[in-house]
Amino acid sequence: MRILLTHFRFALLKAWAEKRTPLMRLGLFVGITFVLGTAFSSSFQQEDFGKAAVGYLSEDAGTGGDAYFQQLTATPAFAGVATFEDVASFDEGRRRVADGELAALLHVTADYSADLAAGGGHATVHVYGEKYSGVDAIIVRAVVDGFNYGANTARAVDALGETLPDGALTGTALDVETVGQTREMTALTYYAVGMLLFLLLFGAEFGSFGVSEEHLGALASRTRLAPQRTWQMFTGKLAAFSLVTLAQGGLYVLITGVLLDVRWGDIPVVMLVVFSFGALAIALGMTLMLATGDMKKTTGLIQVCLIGFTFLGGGFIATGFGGAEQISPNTYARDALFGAIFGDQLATTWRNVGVLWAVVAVLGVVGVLMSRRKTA
Amino acid sequence: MIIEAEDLRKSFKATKAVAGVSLAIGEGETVGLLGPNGAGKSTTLNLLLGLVTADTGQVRILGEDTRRLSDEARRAIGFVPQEYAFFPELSGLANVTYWARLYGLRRRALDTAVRDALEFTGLWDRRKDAAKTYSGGMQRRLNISCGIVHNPKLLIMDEPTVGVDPQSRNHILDSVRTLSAGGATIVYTSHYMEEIQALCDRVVIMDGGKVVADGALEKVIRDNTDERVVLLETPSPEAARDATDQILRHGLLAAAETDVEGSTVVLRLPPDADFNDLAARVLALGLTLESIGERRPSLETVFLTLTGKKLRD
Ligand SMILES: Nc1ncnc2c1ncn2[C@@H]1O[C@H](COP(=O)(O)OP(=O)(O)OP(=O)(O)O)[C@@H](O)[C@H]1O
Ligand SMILES: [Mg+2]
Repeated sequence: MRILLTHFRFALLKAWAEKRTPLMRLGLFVGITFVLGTAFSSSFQQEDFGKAAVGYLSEDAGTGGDAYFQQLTATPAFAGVATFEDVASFDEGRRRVADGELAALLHVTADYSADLAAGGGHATVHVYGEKYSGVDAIIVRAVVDGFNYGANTARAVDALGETLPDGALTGTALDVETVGQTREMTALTYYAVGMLLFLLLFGAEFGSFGVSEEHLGALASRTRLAPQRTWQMFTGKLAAFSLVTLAQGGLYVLITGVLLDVRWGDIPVVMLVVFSFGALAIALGMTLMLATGDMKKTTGLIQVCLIGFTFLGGGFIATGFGGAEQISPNTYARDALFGAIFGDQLATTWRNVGVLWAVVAVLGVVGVLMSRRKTA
Repeated sequence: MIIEAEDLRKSFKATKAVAGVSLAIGEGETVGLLGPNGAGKSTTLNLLLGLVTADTGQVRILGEDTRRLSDEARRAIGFVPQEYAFFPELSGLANVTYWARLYGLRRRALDTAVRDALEFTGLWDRRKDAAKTYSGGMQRRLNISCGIVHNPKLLIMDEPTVGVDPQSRNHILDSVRTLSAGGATIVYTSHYMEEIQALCDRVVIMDGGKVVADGALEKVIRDNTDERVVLLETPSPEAARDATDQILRHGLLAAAETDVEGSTVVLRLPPDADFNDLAARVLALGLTLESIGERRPSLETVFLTLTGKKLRD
């Protein structure tokens, strides 16, 4: 414990001696937030949280296709995120998708009902989308998946001889999309969160420098000879550096709150998320350094993480990536922050904070183990 | 034995840095490790400390396997690496305190040890300045302070005086002498012959990754030079020439074995000649002499003989 505290104290001391870089970076990020928040303010709502226009066409010989679309378009959960439109012909639908008038065309072919009857309930709805990476395409896919999921559940319930209660089909996996409807998301809030996380993620660099000094070069020999364990060093420094990023994040929240009028909501909870995400960034940097034992490689990997995680977490462009965003810790921290800022989904906040700390723990164990195995 | 190493070998790709080194160092010894650049001195020290894994061979240090040292053993070891090993942006005081804390010192003992270590190397007055603002010699001294603050029983120093002005150097040498007098075992590498000669009672000479000589300083010198020289100081160059003539005339030595340098007669003794016997016979000639003495071969000569290299440059 004493050794751990020694590392904690001296890491703070060193951070204080080198406070210029983090402070300058903080200033830079406040600037970027201002620019992004202003630049995207007009188009933000419409582009990212507007409804997707979806065309549909049933050419089914039987009645199944019409029934499918009737139920789909009547489901209130979908009406919130998409507008549905019956198109006259397949060619017309395709053309309008290609022209960007429609986000997607849902198409049921002539043998839909026959397939359904023959294949034990398996038939295909074809989805034609032009912009597959766009938000709209994701909404369409979520809608179709969500509806099919609900429909299949209903069919299963039917088969058991139960009657289907009203509204059963609305119990779908579309909860996420309600964010756009109930929250008054502004471009400034969105980018303030994105940039805060980007800023905090730079803690990885900080963490890697913090251990590199003692793990490369002459200090390494003395460090390795001293009567101490790597985990003591890791934990002590992690705590110290996390406090430093917390301070940095706190200043960012304060400055953007005062100067740019960003409303941060529940500040203590926001700070908790900042601390947790900062710890994750630091642990990431330290672990990469301990594992590779090479500053060049570490810096390269950190750069990839910085850009990749921020991008996937929607920090640069406000969009999802069809599930890929789930591998970015920024996504969890972002949703946790939104939860705290809007005060409406604190359960998500707590769960995501837990996820962040679980990642910190895993990184810690990996880092300590990897550094132990390595001797020149 | 404080250190026991057996048949250590270590190659880096094609380079055989250490090619079969065995060493046994007892308590309280001060051992000088000498060798030209690239001889494998630093690698040997790193192997002894378990900082580099040996290809073959074993090291026991304070009775323990060097790869698995207990905390107790670690606290008894001090290391001053060849490069600077401290945090440049922290003050000298903070640096020394950091190591003292890691080695378990607390409160009064901590303050005293830190102060001693800094006073020891003459840095107490500059303790509050950031280490990066120190001069080269002061940084060297800080490097030493960090390595000795926990008062180690075994101190391993890798060229602690490189690039240091004579004043700082003397300060460092005095410090090492004090530690040695206090009973510490010291292993010291250097390029400066006179440092080794002044500090160490034992010398190990390395070349090409191997130990080429090992033993008490006197013995290593005696064993490795056949050259023995008697110097006769006379009042004048004429007297010197006259004395040489007499010695040759009486057949004490052959002409090739004598030389005149100013007013000094230089006599090179053949391997089987006895110094006392020769001195008596020279005195019996009744020459006018101011003094008679033996020029002792230096470590420098030994080094040159053994490695074919000059140590400096
Ligand atoms: N990490 C390493 N990687 C590759 N080669 C190395 C490494 N360390 C040492 N060597 C090589 O091993 C040999 C011995 O090096 P070492 O540093 O032990 O010599 P030294 O006697 O300490 O020299 P110096 O007097 O210059 O300090 C050299 O040829 C050196 O190039
Ligand atoms: Mg060396």
